[in-house]
Amino acid sequence: MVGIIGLIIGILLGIIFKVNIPDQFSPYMSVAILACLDSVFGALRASLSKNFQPDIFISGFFGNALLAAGLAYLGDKLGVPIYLAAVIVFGGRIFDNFAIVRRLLIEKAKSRH
Amino acid sequence: MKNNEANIFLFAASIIIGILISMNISFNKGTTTTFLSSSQYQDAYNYKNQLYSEISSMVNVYNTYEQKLEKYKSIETNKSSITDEINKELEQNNMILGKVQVQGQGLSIILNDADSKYFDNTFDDQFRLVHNTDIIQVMNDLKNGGAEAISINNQRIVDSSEIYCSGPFLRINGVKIAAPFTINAIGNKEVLYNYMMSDENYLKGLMIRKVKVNVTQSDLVRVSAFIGNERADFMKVQ
Repeated sequence: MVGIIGLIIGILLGIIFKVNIPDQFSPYMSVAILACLDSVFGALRASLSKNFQPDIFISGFFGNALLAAGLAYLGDKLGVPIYLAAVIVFGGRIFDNFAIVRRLLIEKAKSRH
Repeated sequence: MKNNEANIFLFAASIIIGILISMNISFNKGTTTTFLSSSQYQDAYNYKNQLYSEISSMVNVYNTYEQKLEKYKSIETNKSSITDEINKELEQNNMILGKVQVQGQGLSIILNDADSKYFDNTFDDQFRLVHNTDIIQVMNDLKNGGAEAISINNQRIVDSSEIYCSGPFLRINGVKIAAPFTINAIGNKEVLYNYMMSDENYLKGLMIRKVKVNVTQSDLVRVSAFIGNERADFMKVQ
């Protein structure tokens, strides 16, 4: 819930201030966004299973984003689409995390009965 | 407590993600890619080339104006040379407007009604005559082919010229003229000739109708000046 509200606020902020990134950074940005999304889902899962650690979350959030963008950039320079690796790994992890979050939420709802 | 902390971090992180996403979305709006079929691509390519050539011709015009302006500026002190320049421009404009007699390479087209042996007292006789509409079509073709100045039986065609049916005569610039009609046109003679004699041109139709058509290229075609009055009773410069 908190995440969705934050997302909406962020999108609104971005539209209002109209921050534009240069042309050539656009593909790397998409990969970085995917990494950030993965971190957020991980944090959601951790907070539900009560083992959330802020330092790990922050380092993962920025570290993953930078690494993903950097790898995509490197892949572009080398002519190898490494960004695909980032897309597959983070995409898969987002689904994994979502599955665990779902399970946790459903179990919580069941135990309340 | 721990849950609360996690919520705060999640909130901040999702705001950042939201901003990033909206950055990318607003960026993507600017460059929408469309896929073209080969003919569409060809059209777009031609259109691009056309625009480029338009730009280059506009640059040329700009340069001539720029030079003119420079000239005016550099000879600002000398009034008589400015007058000379203005007179030269006036002459140029008069030439374009048809106020002076001009000459140059071009075409001379003579149109006349068909030979009397083709007349057989039927409705077909109408097709053996040169009508005002025929002259208008030929005029349009000439203009399309790049003619710079046109006269018909020494009546200069200007923007106010009418080509009107007046019984057995034509009326151009208020003057009645009779067959044969000699159309003089100044322009690139090769281009004009090839254009006028091409199969889809109106002249071919006239030839099929047995109308006498005589087209000659010439290095020296004279087009007389427009003699008449322009009226400007109602129009005003806006």
